[in-house]
Amino acid sequence: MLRLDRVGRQFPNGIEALRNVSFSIEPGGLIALLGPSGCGKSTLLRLIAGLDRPDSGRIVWRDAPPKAGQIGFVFQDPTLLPWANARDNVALPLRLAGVPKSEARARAEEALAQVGLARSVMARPRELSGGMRMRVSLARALAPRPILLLMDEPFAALDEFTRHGLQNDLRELWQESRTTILFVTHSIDEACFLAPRVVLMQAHPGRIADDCSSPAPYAARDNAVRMGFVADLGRRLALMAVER
Amino acid sequence: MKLLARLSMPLCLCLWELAVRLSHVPPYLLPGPVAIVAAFAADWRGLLQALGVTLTVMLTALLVSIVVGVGLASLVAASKVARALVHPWAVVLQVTPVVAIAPLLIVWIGDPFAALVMCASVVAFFPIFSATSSGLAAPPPELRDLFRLNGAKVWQEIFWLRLPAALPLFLSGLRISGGLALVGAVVAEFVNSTGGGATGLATRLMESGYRLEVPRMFACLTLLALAGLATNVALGKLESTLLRRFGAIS
Repeated sequence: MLRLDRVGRQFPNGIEALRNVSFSIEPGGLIALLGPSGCGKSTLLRLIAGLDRPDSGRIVWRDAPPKAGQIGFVFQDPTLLPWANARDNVALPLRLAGVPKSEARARAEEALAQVGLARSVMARPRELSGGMRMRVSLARALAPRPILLLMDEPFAALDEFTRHGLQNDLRELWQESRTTILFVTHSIDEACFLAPRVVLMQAHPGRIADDCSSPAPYAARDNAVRMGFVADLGRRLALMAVER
Repeated sequence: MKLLARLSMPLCLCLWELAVRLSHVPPYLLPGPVAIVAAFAADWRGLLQALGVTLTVMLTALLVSIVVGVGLASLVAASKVARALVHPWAVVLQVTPVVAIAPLLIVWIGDPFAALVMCASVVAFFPIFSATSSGLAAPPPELRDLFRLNGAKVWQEIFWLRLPAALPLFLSGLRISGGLALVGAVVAEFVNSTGGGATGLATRLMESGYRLEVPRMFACLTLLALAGLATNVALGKLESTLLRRFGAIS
């Protein structure tokens, strides 16, 4: 679907955020981009979304580059419009793409039902819990049926119970829809739980350290094989921090 | 505490009346509340009519300030060229005293009502423009990214994101402008009435001053203060109602 070829990005203040980043994303995959804070994960996501441009290298789409609305983005904060209800928040990308109001609203309700919020369509963001707001944000990204869904540490600010619930739901959603997802996280456990493929990044400058398959991504959280992989990744991240 | 707050005004008025009576201060120096009420009762129709004229000028000026302030702020948000062109002139208008501009505007515009509205608008426009400009720049960058990702046009970003996001700041600007519009209307009337023009409350105030009708002056002042207070309360109510409806406050 998409190939990054020796992509680099240096900010005007001289900080080299990314150097020679190369990897490819296949359709229908769920990839976790794992690394410590400041390793350029979010920058990479912005480059793929077209919100920023690389200084070197290129991003090659197998087919035509995506049009507006074909890339879904879930930010770390839900960033909903406080004056609009859940349905209108979810309908927003569709309305921006010129979908008539009634159709946009119907599709928004569908997307909200998909994330388990069928009963909260008319609720304003302030009437929803943190987890529910994040579900609305996820529904907003899913409503236009994107070809690629980019998620930038979406569950990082949530409590553990809510986070686990949302991780389970996201996994189920992906297994049903097979939407291509690139999921940025700094949680080893989250990456190994969610994704069959984990791309490991290291910082200063941001670069790919490893690209590996998770041996048991959908096993129970205390599964021995998965726990071994989690421990291994943890050791490698710690070593990277020491080397730096 | 609430009782104290409710009683403070009547208590002060009683003390004022008592002090004036006991010290035998003549009413042309300091009239007591009773003399002020009597002066109002003697010409209540004329004074209320004059208040109506001042309030009409004030409200029209406020409306003009909203249209021009929000319009220019949107233009400035949409284009850097517009920002470079508009912003310095807005600041120049803000820092130039209205008393200095008013005679010129009155000469240029000719029509007294339009001239008064223009003077009051010059004073009231800046807080709305400034607050709305800040509000239009306030939406979180993620939401702006979301609009960009979905191919939003400039007008969609202005009307669907920036203007609603600017509402809380616009409303606080409006509250300041409400008071300033009244001040602007009174100042403009002062300038205009020296040329024998308007018949608003400021004109009545000056007229009473020339005749040394100090209780009537106080009656005019009281009406102006009450009008200012009512404007502030009304705009405050509008602010909280709209913010509640728009989900900005719970």
